[in-house]
Amino acid sequence: MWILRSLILGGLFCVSACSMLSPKAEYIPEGDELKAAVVGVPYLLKINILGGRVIDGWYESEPDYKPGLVTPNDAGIFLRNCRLPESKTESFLPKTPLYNGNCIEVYGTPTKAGELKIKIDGGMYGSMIAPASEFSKEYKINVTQP
Amino acid sequence: MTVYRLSTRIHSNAPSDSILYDLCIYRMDSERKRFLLIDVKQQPIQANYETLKHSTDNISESLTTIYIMEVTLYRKTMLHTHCVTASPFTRMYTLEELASGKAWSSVKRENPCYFVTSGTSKLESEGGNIVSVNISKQDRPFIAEQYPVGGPQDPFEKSIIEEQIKNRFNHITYPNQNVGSLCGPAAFFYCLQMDRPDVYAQAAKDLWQFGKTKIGALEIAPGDGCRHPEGSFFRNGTRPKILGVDWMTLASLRDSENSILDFDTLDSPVAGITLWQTLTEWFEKAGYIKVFSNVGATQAGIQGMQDLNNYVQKGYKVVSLINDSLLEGSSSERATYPTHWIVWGGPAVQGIDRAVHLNLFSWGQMQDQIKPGKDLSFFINRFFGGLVFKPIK
Repeated sequence: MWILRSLILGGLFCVSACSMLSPKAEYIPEGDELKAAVVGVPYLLKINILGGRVIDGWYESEPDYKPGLVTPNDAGIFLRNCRLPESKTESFLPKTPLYNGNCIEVYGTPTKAGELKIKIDGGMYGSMIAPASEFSKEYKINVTQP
Repeated sequence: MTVYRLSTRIHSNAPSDSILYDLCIYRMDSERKRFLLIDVKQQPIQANYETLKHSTDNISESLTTIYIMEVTLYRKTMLHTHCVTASPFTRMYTLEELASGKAWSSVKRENPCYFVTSGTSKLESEGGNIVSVNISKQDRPFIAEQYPVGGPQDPFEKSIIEEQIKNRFNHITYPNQNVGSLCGPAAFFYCLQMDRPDVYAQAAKDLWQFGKTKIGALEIAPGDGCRHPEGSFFRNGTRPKILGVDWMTLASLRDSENSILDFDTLDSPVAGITLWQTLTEWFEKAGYIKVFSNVGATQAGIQGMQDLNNYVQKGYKVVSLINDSLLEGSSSERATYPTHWIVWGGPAVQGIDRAVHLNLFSWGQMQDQIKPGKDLSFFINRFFGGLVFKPIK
């Protein structure tokens, strides 16, 4: 068993210079379109990024950190990382808001009708056997008049 | 208990009897409390530019203990004595080097220096007398290919690096490999940062200034490619892919170790395994003493976890090998081979919901980063033991 493991490790080392093993991002929701929004109606939707640990946005997020871009940026819709659940953070001191870098909330109250574009991108940590990787994903939100 | 007689050397072309020096030799503990070994002011230098031999108190210290040496130079004239160093020159040496007359470098600029021209000036009214002085200045050791010195995004700009080192010294931020596969170097530098923030800061400063450093017996001397990395340092033009201080420390350590694969680009970084033998060597050369190991390519089991719990509760450094799918946000849970080094911040415990919690250092954070709600068997399948070191002082 030990020899087998060592062989596997050796093999992994040999291929570690390529990106075959790098984390590949998958998203929930899938597809390119998020649920539609209505002008004047509060909107909230979570996007989960799977496949690897997203490099930024974890725990004490920097004040100016934005996990993506909304276009146009004056449509009343914004992005932020999801808060970690209380059960996760209750033992942490100091008790500050702590965030999940692999989860993004699309939130706000749309102010005008039309098509919004949401772009999220970033990097995922690698490991000893897999280099880091980058991801990028675009969604559309159709905003209608009430 | 021993009394040591410590000395260093300066480089100068001025008459030795015209130079005075302040010498302060100290170490800090993990809370940055300073322990002075020598603190003398305006002492005369010897004719061979060696300092006097200054006696310590009767101390009980390992000869491998690393001390920071601070030197300030003064020039004595007939009228007054004035300081000739803008800020104290700092360098780190072991107690053994300081006590055996080896606390100096064969490279001139790696020592406290004071040089004067031999030209003499005349009044302009006495006729033109032009003296040419050549002052050489070496290129900065770390220059990113895409971000020249003086450019707006230079990741190794002096004030940026100073701020990053200050944040590490004060434990505001921690080593973060970001896009680099550098968890082994990050685990090493995290332990050093926590135990000896003064040594961490001096190592980073040495690398920035001289392109190399020596932590105890651990020599870090990155190659030209690593000191001139290619590729973009920023994602989307703004978010750093890795901080300059982390490139200088983590990538340099990896590059110094690996003579086959250069660590010289951010656009297609290579992964690389840090084996436990290599990690042990780094720690031991820096002065750590290994007291226990149950690390290996196979899972260490519940007993292995309990062994490490016992050590971490007694204040030892526990550096552990895991599969990174143990951690929040991380990848596929199907693979259960070792991929990642972490440092324990306390014992692994099971909550009333049977979920395992462990405060640990990874990816620039010290938090409970175990995936929420995961039980002991999930933990054990991804846990490959660890190395235990006595903290350095």
